[in-house]
Amino acid sequence: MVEAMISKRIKEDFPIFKRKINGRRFIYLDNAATSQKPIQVINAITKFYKFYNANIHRGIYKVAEEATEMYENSKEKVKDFINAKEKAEIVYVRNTTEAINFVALSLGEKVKKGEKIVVSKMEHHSNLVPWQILAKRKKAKLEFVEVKDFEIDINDFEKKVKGAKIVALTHVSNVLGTINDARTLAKIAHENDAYFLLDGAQSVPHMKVDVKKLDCDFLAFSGHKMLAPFGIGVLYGKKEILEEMQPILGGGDMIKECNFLRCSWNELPYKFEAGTQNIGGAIGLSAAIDYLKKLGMEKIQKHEEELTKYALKLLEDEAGVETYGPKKRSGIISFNIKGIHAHDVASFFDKEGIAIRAGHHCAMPLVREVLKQSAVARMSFYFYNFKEDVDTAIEAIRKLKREFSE
Amino acid sequence: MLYAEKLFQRYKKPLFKGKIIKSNKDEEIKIATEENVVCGDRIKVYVKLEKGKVKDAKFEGSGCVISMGSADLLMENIIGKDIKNVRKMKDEDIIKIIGFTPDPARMHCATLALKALRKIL
Repeated sequence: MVEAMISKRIKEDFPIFKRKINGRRFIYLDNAATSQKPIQVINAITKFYKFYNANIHRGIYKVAEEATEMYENSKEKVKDFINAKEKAEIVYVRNTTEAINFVALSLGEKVKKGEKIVVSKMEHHSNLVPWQILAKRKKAKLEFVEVKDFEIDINDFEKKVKGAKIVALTHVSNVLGTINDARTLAKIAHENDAYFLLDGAQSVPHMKVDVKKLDCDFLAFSGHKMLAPFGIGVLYGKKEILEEMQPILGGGDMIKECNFLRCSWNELPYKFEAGTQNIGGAIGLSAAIDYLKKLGMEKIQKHEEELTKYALKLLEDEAGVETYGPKKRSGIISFNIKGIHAHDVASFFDKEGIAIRAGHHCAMPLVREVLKQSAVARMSFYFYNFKEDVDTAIEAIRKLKREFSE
Repeated sequence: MLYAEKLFQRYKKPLFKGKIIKSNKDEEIKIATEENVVCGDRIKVYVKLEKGKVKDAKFEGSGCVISMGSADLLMENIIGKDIKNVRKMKDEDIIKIIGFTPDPARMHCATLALKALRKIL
């Protein structure tokens, strides 16, 4: 049923899948790290550099005006994609990490000594380290919401959120696949007068994320995990909050008027975009959104849900395999095979032409202190994965177990 | 075969896994730990030194085939050697000892035990 929804022919859009790895079909199950790029996105970027290459916002000539229009269109698309109120709320950055650091540096200025910042124990380092740095800089307190049965412990959150200035939580865990109830978490944060930042790195590429519905103050996500090139990411912020924030980078295009002593800032979002932007990246992101919209986010989510259910069932039936995460989750499955190190699993998978990730997945405290593992192997899906990819992975696990038991 | 046979066999049946405990106060025993932050492997090496030579070597730890197999083969290799020669050992020497060239991303697994030794020799 699922496979009738998204045709296997979709793989033809992705040139990389023509490659053979160790003589085998390339099976890519590391989508939580980055996605593959369809030819439509690659062509859009190539077309820009071939025919429209110019710097934006300044040139009084046709090509520059076209490039500016393409850049602005890209923002318009991002705005619609996440249902933001206005384009002014969309700031381009390099990636999720940069977006979160941005907020920690700029909004972080409002944090006073002894005030509280709250994150959870399931955060990626990108939503942990910027807050550690801020807490140290401002002599603020950093508190961690417990993870219980692979979910954010909502009772613990309700306790810890009291008196918090900033709450920063992930929408989908990159290790557990847990989909957090962002709407409820945002509501509780706001009831306690805290700002709420949502790390959307693992959610925006895979499901419909609506910032109005979720009522998050900030949303951070990366283009490269959603078909776009590396180096383009998004910081969404509510306009009224962005208005009160100070820029963290100074330079060209972010000022309105400037004399030798002081400047006034440009309007949103440009006051946060100093210097020449990743214009080619923005155009790639625009093409990526077109692709995703054409396919349909609901269809993508449904496809991945079914595939994840299928994979989980097979993995759970496999002797010696342990999986980590809640029953209902996104297309991320972390697992270990008893007596075999995750890196040996990944190396063996590679020989079979399957790309997976192994290690602590940039969530070292979660893997070590919550899961009590030194490393875990992880397969993560996107809409171009099908049951046959999962079957090949399961077959690889069986072969590996045989090799280690001999 | 995923790795070299020799390496894989030593991972499954290590010959130099264990502790070295001081049996009298004159014995010179050095211990070092090393951790691989990328994959979480941890190792503890023990060496007994005598007259400028490695008299005995053992290791404890948990990790992947490459890190644990390499550690076992390295311990075997250094026993009886002059300390100054062990000190000179390079990452490339590990490749010779284990009979296998790891992918670049796994090289750090192979050199884990050597890194620990460098702390004490």
